[in-house]
Amino acid sequence: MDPNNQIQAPVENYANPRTCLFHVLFKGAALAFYILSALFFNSFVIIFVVTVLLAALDFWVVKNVSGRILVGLRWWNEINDLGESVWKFESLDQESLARMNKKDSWLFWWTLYLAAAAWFILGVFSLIRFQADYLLVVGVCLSLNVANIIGFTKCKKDAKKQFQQFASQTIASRFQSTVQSAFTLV
Amino acid sequence: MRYYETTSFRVRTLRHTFILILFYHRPLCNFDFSSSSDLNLNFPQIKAFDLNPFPGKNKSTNHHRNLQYLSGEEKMSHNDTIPLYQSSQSDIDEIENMMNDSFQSGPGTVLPARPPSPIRPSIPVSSSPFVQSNLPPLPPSSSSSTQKVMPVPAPPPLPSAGNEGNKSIGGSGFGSPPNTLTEPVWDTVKRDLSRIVSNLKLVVFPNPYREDPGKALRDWDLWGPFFFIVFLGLTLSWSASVKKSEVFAVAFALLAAGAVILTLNVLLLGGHIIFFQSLSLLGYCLFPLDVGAVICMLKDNVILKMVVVSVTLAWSSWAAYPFMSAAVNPRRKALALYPVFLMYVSVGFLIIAIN
Repeated sequence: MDPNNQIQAPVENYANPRTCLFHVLFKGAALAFYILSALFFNSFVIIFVVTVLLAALDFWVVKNVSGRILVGLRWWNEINDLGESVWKFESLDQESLARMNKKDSWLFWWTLYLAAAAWFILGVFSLIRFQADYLLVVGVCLSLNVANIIGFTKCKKDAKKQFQQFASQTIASRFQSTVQSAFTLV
Repeated sequence: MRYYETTSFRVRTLRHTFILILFYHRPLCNFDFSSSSDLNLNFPQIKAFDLNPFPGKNKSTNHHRNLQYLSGEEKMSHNDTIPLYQSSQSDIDEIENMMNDSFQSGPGTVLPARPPSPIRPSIPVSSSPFVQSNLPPLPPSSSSSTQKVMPVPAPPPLPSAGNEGNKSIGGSGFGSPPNTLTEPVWDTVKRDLSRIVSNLKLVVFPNPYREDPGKALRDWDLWGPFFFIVFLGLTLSWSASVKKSEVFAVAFALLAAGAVILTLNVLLLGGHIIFFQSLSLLGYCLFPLDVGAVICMLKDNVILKMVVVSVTLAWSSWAAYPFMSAAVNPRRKALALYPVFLMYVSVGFLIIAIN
């Protein structure tokens, strides 16, 4: 096994390169267009519409596609029959989560945090230059990124909680079966 | 009614798939001993479903109600094949215990597969404790029949029953949809697009939930509001001869901040409303005003503009009325509805005034 491990370690690569590409593409496009737009366009309308549209597409792709392919998590919000808002989380089981590619997971979480940090810095710059309209763009983009961070963090905690419950149920079942088999023998 | 059916279909499908895959758990384990690579790929999906029965972050009341709902579905779909559920249907607490002990209910479905003699030698020894732990929930007659079955290695009638069970479940298993974690991307896109279309129909056509406004826009989304607000801002800024950027910023800020303020107004009046659902509703109700803005952009007649804006304004207010009125106390209905009307009037004035 050791030679195989030595051979496989450097060969390991991104398990889903296309999903990783789309995960980064919309983030990069939104940030790049917002930063570079001042050089080419003088119209706030174009800057606002394109940047917010790219940020919305990034939000959807991360929430519905790259989240479940790269880290095996998915979250959404539902309204039940009582009219109350309920958060729903889905996750693969512990074995499948452990089998996930580490580089995919690393890329997912780091790009999520870095994008939010970038928008925050850009927001500070807009605030310093007293540009309220551009602060509106940054506010929308930052809200979408923070929503994704909160959703996936809660989803990850929920997955760990379910795994602990599953382990507890297994232990309880084995204990009950042992006691019952003892009674059966008696 | 349609949304209720959609919700029940989703829950029933997930439950049905869960039971089916639990039944297939044992045969797949048998194949797994032969170390088949194709079957190993299906293994994570099965375990993903094993986690579903555990309660997430729901309240205890919702938990009980969901259990009642699930028990009803179990009556409808599995009344004959699984007699185990009949004994526990009358007691909600027992159903809750079964939900908590869902790992024990797994061997319950494995019992029909045990009588055939070829499968029995391949079953590992570790599965026997779960079978023994399954004895207490069964009624006395079932337990006695199980005890009778245990010593007999290969009774003649039971293999046919096992085969029938395999055939029936196998036939219905092909139609089960996959989990949302493993579905193709195109299915996700289609589901979201159909949601947007159905939400738009609730505003454009007469509302079928007008008698029960709480069900309107239950599957809320923010794509429609985003598109309508941006579209209205673009239309107004194109109509404006000067200061296009300022017109767009004012329109967007008015609508976005207005929606937030209206929702907070309802919450402060003691109303029961969900923040994002309210944003979604107010955004979708902008659709008539968007149409009015396009017409006013094409025509330059002031009287025609006033007529068009009045019609679309009445339409938007009429669409938003049942939801906002149901969210608050009847005595405070006017306080909740007046700001909504005021926001739409402001949008109407923007449409008329910009030349």
